[in-house]
Amino acid sequence: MIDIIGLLVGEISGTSRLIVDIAIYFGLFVIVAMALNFQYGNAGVPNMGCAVQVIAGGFTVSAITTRVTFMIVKAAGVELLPFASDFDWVYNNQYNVSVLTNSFLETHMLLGISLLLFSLGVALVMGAAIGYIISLPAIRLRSTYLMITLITMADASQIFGRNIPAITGGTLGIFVPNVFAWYPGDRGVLLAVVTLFIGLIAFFIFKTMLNSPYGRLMRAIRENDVTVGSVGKNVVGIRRNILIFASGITALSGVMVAFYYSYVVDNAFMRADWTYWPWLMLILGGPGNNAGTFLGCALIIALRRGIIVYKWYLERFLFFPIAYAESLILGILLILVIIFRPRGLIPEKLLYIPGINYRKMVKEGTAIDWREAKKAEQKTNRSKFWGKKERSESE
Amino acid sequence: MNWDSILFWVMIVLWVTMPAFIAYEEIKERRALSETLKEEE
Amino acid sequence: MVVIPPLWVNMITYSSLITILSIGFTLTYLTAKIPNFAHGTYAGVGIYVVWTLSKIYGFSPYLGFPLSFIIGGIVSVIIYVLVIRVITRLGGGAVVLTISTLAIQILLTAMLSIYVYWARGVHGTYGMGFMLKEYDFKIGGYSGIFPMSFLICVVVVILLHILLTRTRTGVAMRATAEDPELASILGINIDTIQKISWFLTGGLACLAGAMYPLWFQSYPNSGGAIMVSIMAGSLLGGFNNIYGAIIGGFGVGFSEIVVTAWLQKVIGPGVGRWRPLVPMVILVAVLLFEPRGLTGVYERFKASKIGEKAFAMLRRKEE
Repeated sequence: MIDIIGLLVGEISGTSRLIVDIAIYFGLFVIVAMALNFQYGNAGVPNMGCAVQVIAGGFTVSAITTRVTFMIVKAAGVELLPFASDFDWVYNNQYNVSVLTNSFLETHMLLGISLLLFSLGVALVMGAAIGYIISLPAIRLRSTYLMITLITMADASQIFGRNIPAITGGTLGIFVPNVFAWYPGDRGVLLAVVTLFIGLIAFFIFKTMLNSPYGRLMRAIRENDVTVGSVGKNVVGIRRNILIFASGITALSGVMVAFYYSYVVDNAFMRADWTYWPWLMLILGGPGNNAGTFLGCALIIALRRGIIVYKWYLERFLFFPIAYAESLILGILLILVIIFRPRGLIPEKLLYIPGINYRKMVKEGTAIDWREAKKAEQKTNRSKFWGKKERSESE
Repeated sequence: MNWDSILFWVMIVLWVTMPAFIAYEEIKERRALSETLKEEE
Repeated sequence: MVVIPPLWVNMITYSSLITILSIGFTLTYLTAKIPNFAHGTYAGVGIYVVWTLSKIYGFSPYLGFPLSFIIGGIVSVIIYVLVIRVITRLGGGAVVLTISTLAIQILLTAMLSIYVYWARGVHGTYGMGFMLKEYDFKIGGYSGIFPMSFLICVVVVILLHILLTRTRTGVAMRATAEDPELASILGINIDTIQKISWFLTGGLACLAGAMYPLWFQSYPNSGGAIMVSIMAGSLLGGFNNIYGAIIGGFGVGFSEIVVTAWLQKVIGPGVGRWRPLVPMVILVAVLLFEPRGLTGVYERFKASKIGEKAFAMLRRKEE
């Protein structure tokens, strides 16, 4: 603790750097995880292609923001190397960005901030557009087919990114101007603050939507979409809106990722990193409520950062590189969580609907008593697991 | 002014706000739920 | 000697492999009702069984085929018992099971990578990106794998057909696939049947994987990489129709190579990088327009006016 208090006069280093690091990754992933919770936990849309939503944000920064920055900077008189053709775009990019543009941005604080806001705004739109595109085939399909389609589309977007140099420099990648260049101190903290702030806003937006009648509608669709459709709601349209909305917000996270690494390449958005880990966070924490997502995210981020920081210690026991260990842990944890805690650590609580008398329902035999139902279910599950001897239902 | 440390504490505040808020909301809701269940006895 | 253009050689070899894998994938879907995302990775296991045999111990890869079949089957059954059966008994739904197969894919790929890494330390062989073409025999100027893959594919199809239609086990498998509860009432032990099906699909996938390095460059992730083509092949033929998977597998394999080659002639050599997009497009198109694949097209045709007339004509001819 002493060195944290001592920060008031010092710089960010050591433990506090670790904290900032964790905070940044947490901020990035919590946005993605919350959006995923919105889609799957509440609306039942298993979006296994959420990497593509993050990619939308990242590619916006690399393709659009960088060009806009170049144009503005050029108009302000700084001599940039040519960047019109594809080859020049990639080849001259590093010099353009690291030397020329960044030194320009150091003196123009307002430009830096406005570029950031511009990126966020455009990413929101682009994310929504991607959400629309992926919702087109996916909307009419059910669970497993939906998953297959979404995973395929996420992979396809990576291929687009890899092969069109104008977007993200093909396999070489594009450096991104540092919009925080004007900040005299440590860039990481500022980035963490911005990311967490966006996360907080996203959290409030999601919370409001989830507790509104729209949220109840989403949960109804999750449980039984045929019924909801028969009542007259446009289920397909609602699902599409949910995807679009969640995509937009996830893209914001993609923007912050791009700015954090200062470099965008299609391999940076690996499927494992941006789809599987968020899913693990969601399932571990408990799909359906924000508290669970938050907890899952915190635990997983702590785990991953812990592995990276204590790499030297772990490599003494493990004879293989850490990257494989992370994949192993991902796979094993996913399976373990599914088996032992399919509802997650913080299960979704029963919706309280004013006016319904739960006691009366229990007496009349409707199986809605959530306390008894849970115990009975666990009992039958346990007996089913060990063997099919008990077939009698003793309720 | 050491911007870094100020931002650091801002970051910590933001970071802590979310779970605090979530916890507050959850506890409030669960308490309300159990109270209404008790009322109906 | 018939000269077969190299494009055809490529197509037939690739398509045979994809077809065997698609058949296995469809079989898994029929018995377990979920798409098995780890199917390609079972092929990866096969790749590395053959690699171990050839690069480390120096045997011909063809000896590895039956071995990989058995090892694949065993691995598959172990995974079934440890993971899939547990989750099914605990009441997991389709989505949860699919996620678990994804987890298995991640796990298996990581284990394969670790194995390669370990083998490099112990045996000094390099397992990332290798080909076993030099271990192959030659027939009339072509690598042996070209006729062998097609032959094995045909043999697999015939054997599977006999198994499913003539043997008791096969009929039991089909019954379980259609209606498990009724099948268990009739006295079929569902668990054993499931184990047999998983053994079969795992073995088939590993067999295909064993053939893979004889023609293509292989990495620990090769299995996962062709997963899209496998799914496209399976879906194209109809997700729950094994014979459809044959057509689908060949269709996807052919399309991938033909479309890429044609585009390369038209647009330029750079198109090769877009090749993985072909099965993706097929996959999405199938799901959009006819989710039941060619089987659905066939059913629609049968039910339509033209189809009825055609079938009536055929029936009248038989009389």
